[in-house]
Amino acid sequence: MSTMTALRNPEHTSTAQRRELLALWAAWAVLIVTALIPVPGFGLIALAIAMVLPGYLIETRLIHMGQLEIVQRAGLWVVFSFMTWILVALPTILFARHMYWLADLAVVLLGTALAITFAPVRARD
Amino acid sequence: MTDLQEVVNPDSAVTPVQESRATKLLSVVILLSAQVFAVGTMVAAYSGITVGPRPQNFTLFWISLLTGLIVTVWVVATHIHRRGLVAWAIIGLGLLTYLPMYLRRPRAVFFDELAHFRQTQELASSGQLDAHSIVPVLPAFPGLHIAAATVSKLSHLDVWTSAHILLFTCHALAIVGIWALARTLNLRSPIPELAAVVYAVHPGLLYFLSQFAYESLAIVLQIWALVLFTWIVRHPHRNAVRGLPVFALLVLAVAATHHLTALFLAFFVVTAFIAMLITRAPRTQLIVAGSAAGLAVVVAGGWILFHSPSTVQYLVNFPQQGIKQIVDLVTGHHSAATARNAFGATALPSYEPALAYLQPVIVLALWILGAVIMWRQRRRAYAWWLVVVTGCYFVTLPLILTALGAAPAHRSWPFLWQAGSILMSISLVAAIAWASRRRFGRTLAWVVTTGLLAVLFIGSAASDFNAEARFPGKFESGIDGRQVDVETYAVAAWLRAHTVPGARFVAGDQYTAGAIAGLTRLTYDDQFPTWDVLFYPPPLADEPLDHLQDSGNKYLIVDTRMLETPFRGGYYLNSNEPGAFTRTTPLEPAALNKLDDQIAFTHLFRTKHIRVYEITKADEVGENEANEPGEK
Repeated sequence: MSTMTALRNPEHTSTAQRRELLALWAAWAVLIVTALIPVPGFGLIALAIAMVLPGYLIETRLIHMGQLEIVQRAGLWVVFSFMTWILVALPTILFARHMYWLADLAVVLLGTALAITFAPVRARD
Repeated sequence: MTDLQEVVNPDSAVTPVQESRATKLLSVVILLSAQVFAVGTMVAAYSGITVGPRPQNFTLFWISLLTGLIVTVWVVATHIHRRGLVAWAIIGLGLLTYLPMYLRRPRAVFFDELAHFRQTQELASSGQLDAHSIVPVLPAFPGLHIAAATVSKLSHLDVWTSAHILLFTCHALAIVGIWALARTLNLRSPIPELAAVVYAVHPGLLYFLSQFAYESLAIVLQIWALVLFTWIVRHPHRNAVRGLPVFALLVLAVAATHHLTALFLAFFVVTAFIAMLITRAPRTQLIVAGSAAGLAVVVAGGWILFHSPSTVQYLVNFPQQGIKQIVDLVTGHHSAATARNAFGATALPSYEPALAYLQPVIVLALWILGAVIMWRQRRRAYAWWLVVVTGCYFVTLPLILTALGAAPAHRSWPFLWQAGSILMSISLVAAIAWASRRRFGRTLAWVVTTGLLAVLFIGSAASDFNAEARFPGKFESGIDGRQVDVETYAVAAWLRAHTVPGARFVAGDQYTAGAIAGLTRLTYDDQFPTWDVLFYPPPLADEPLDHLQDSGNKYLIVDTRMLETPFRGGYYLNSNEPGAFTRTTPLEPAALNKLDDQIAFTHLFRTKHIRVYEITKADEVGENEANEPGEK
């Protein structure tokens, strides 16, 4: 079931899935606000979200390494987040010789929104 | 032997143990108290140091780290079923291994990290990579700089604080990654947990991987790429389609972060594939492993060859020269330029070098035991991989006795110990299982294991983390980490305010050059033979002066403390200079003082020891000839 389907058919969505979706969208909202509007003291919240969220989406939506313990999976989320940062910034740095922060962020946001929308809520394992 | 085999049987289930709430609480209190004590002791170890460390600083340093080690092993030994507690103990140990370097340098002081610091600052402030003059290959490997600049941008913290956050995270991720790698190999607890602890005591984590340099991040990505590779290969039907593209992206991130790490990742995956061929793994597994190996080689090799081909020569040169120097040592043709004495003139307490000599012996014993156990598992590819990759560690050991081979040997250990930590953990757990069934008792076996790990910890640190790098102290000529001080920062601040970005300079020694290049926006000219101008007593010959004036360099920066002792790095500027490695006396003061009498050099700025001269071009000297040289 895709996220969009899950949102449209709440009767077919478990409470845990709905909570997860809600948490994801809330996390993105906080990240957008804190990243685009630099609020003193809120930067660390944005950092904490950005260090986990892209990796979380990649792990849970794409590969789902369920045999690992939760701490190990959390490690994987951070690693995949670092990977996302690097790969998203790489083309602009290498070809445009400049890192466009806003553009990068927009790409991450767009990519992740698409991932949430079209990827399965629970990857088949 | 039967009970040794049971240890590695693929059964990771842990028998739950019923504990009262009070017992559970007590174990949490003990763990947290020990960790707080370890942090407090480490802070004390780094407090009040002015001219250099005293014996009590080393004592406190080891009390802190060994407390962290002992409490983690205690949790693994007695509370393996408490997964949250085990996880926190392992993460805590990882964080503790970065604490010494965090306390060591409130700002960048090491040669390599000054270059990375400037690159990250440039990226965070202007969005552009810098054509770096000290480490020319840096722009081709921007992964660390992107990650650190992103932390800085997101958190609104300065670049150096962001670097610390990144490095603390990387340390925890590295040993959790080894834990996950052993877990994906389906090894039975407590092998994965103990493997994480063994990796925490390896040579490299305290110093090499604690520098703000690209390998500190790249190795974390590489370890987790191996985790992903293992996961894909173990269940190819289920995981390959989803896993391989993500694996390729992770390899690309590694390649874009650090060249050597990317090559080690390719080496590991290719050797794993070969091991699978030897053990005649199922066809599907071979296809998937071969695809992953091909991806790793193409992505890593392609990035280096097409994006930074000069790196190849850089990577080949050091081991090549090191092997040549080993041959010279064996054939008796060595000289002061090639040979290197282990712990010559070391400031470490005597027990550290002694344990450093014991460390390879323990590793060898555990490797042999591991190889014996793995022989019974020889139908499994990972058994071959663990034994062969760990064995490479012993191949690198002779290189540390050579001047140019020592650096690549040290740099290979954080990679080779990834397999080594798992193999040694298998040996240790097997020995514990064996002892537990005999009169020695399980408790004694764990105590001996902890003792062995403590010896490995101290011995490893001694071989990689010398006293000058480990603790702050007085200025020491030619010592990385001791040559950047408040004067250097003062000169850099003045240069940032009063010079044009991109202007070129030459310097009296490589560390001053590295610091100025790292802390300002000037460009160091590492091709100019500055020794022709600086190394000889007056008068300054016309030819080198003309050469310097026509070289396009605008500034000459000299730290007069280079006169105090012969440069301990073996050379002032590079290994091509006259007297490199063989110089036994420092330069004559007159060699530097002659600059003050030259009209071609104008004093721009000086501190107690550092002088900044402006180099006047030959055609401009005539115009200025009427003016006396003097300070501005």
